[in-house]
Amino acid sequence: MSVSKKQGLGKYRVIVIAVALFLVFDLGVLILNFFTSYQIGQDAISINLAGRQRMLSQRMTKSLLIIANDASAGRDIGAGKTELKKTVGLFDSTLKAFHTGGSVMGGNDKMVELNAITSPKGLQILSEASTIWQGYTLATQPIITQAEFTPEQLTTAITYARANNIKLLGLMNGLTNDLEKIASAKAERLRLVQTIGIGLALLNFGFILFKFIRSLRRSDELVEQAQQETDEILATVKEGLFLLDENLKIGNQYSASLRTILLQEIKPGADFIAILGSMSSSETLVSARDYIELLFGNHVKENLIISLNPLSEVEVQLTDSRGKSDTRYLSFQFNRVLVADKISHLLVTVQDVTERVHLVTALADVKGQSKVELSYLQKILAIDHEQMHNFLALMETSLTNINAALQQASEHGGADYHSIINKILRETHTIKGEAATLGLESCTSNTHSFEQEMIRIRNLPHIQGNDMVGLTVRLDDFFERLHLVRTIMSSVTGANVSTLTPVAHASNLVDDMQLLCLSIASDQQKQAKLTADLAALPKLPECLTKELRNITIQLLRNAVSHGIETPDERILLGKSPTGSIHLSCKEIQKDQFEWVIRDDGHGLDPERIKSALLRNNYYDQEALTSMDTRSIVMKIFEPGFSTLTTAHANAGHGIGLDLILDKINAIGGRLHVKTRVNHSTEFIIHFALGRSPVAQSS
Amino acid sequence: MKLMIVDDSSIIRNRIARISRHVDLAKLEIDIVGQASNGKEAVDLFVKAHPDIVTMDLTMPEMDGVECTKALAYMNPAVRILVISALSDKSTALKALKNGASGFLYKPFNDEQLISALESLVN
Repeated sequence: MSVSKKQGLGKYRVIVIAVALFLVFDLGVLILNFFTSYQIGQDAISINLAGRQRMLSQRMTKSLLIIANDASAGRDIGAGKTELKKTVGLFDSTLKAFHTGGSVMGGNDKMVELNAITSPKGLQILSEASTIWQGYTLATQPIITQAEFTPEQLTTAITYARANNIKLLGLMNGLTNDLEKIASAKAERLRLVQTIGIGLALLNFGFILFKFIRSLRRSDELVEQAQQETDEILATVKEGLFLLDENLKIGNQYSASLRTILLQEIKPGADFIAILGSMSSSETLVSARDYIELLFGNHVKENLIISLNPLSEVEVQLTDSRGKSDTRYLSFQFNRVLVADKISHLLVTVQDVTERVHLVTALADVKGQSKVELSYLQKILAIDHEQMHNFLALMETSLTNINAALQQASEHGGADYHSIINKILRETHTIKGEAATLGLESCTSNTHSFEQEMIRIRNLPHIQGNDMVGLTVRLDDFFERLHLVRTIMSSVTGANVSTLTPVAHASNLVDDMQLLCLSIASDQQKQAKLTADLAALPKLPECLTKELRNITIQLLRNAVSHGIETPDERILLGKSPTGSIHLSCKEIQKDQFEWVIRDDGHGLDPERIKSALLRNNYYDQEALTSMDTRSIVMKIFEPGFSTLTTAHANAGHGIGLDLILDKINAIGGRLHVKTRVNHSTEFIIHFALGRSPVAQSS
Repeated sequence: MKLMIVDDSSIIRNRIARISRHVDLAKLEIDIVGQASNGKEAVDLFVKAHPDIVTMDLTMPEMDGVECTKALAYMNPAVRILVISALSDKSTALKALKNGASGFLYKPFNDEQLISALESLVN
């Protein structure tokens, strides 16, 4: 980017030579002018003195005549003699000076330097004049030098003067004319030289002007062309491009895309940090400023800090002209611009990388999804096929029920949303329980998050039909998953899964419950072991076994989550660190059965139940004081009750026990609860075969 | 070029030392003059060994990398410091650079990355 000085001289070389020539011409003309002017000055002296010679020739004659006149009248001839002496002397010295050159008295009584005559005509005139003058000096000599001269001597002088006066005048006139002609020729020559000199100078000047303008125009054209190319590049390039100076101001030129990418007008000299500040967080701003300042410093290596660029993929909030805000991801890359080894600017390249970021996220999602599907597949393959069929049938029934309930909610505005939600929650809870029993973690967690959403809606101050819309979408997702699992199953087993009828296998029940017990316990960092005595189970019809299985799942979940203490607590209480849960089924009379689930946990503490009821505003203090212990304990079966302050997948939502009560009612059974604080809790269900509505209906 | 390696992990120190002796680096004539496991040790060693280049970890006991960078740059403004860190927080790394470091390399790094960073640092 730097411009070489050598190249610059080359570019202007012609102009420099032209200017030098111009100066040489001018100087030449000046010298010539000076010399000729000097000569003309000398010529003027000669002309002047030649003219004086004309005048002196007349004055000499006049002096002779005055002397003769004064002498004949007997007057003093002194004045005449002095005049004659002066004029003759002047004439003589001037004539000699014309011959040989030298000093002579000028017109203003000062000595002047006279050049010798060199022109042929002048020399000839001088020669003739000298001959005449020789006789003149001889004739006037006695008059000038002698105090007493004879009248003959005076007459001789006057006669000579008269005879040669006009001749001498004519010769001096001729000399003057000759000198004037020479001077005039010199003046002519001077004019010519001046004209030629000025002409050449003008020509030179014209050449300089032409050269200069042409090269100026050429460089202007180059600049314009470069400017146009830059403009075209900046108008076409997809990236936002601009230069940033040390004061973090944007340069005069930037690409058109910059406005589109930043969704705002950019003015030359705009503050980059202010623009960034309008779209990103203050932390980003601080880091960005630090990073840019580092790049302007010399000690940091540019390629060694690229990885620290805080704006390489920055999330920004952009607002368009209609005021619509949108989250985008921009990438700002900074490159040092060096001029003469100094950092003059940073070249900033801006790109909208939102699509890329979304693609990366989507890819991660797809990967996650594949993982989920793979884990489904692994689980499904690990589970006994019949059990899986049963689970899928149960899931389908429950989902259909939920769907019906949601439809009911959307069709009847002002429906009792609370009871609908509770109904859906019971169904969901059943699915969750079964899924957990089979170890289908993904399904368990999905059902759990569905439950949480339901509970969120249930806790809204005013539930509206619209609140349930999101649930429909999630339900579709469940149906899809159901379909997916069925497809996987059929491709693995080759059987059409959907046509199989659910079969409840009592033999699997103990294994399943033991697995669920271990799974819930390990989730909560507890230790629990389930033992079972289900000798009477084969006597029960399948439909009843299925319901009892669901009831047991919820009670088991409840026993591990609420009953069994953590190993540390148990040790402090003097118990074995592993809690024990026992499940039993006995025929106590003909067709009369007792189903018991017992845990050795901390029992149902009326005080804890009381404080939970208070905390959730079920009852006020006064109402609670009036209740007996049994009534308080039985409140755990109220919809929505929970003693846990935070919910997890296994308990704490306040769904479960009310569901159990529903199911017990459905099989025509009765529930008894026996509990001792810090010792045990027993849920005892009594039911008879003939009386069960479920059994009857099947 | 005299190199000092500052890192609290001996594994990382040995790795940097091993790569620094790499054949390609022989052209750079790098001579390892010392290794320090924290900022204080690094300052003491710096005074004795006068290294030209330093690789600097950021999270270290006693005196952290930012403080140590500041101290070394104060003692010899011409020293070139390459920060090598696993920090996810870029602002700490920027702080080290503001205080006199010349470059930054993410942990984990491979041989080529370290060699190329050292070359950039020296040239």
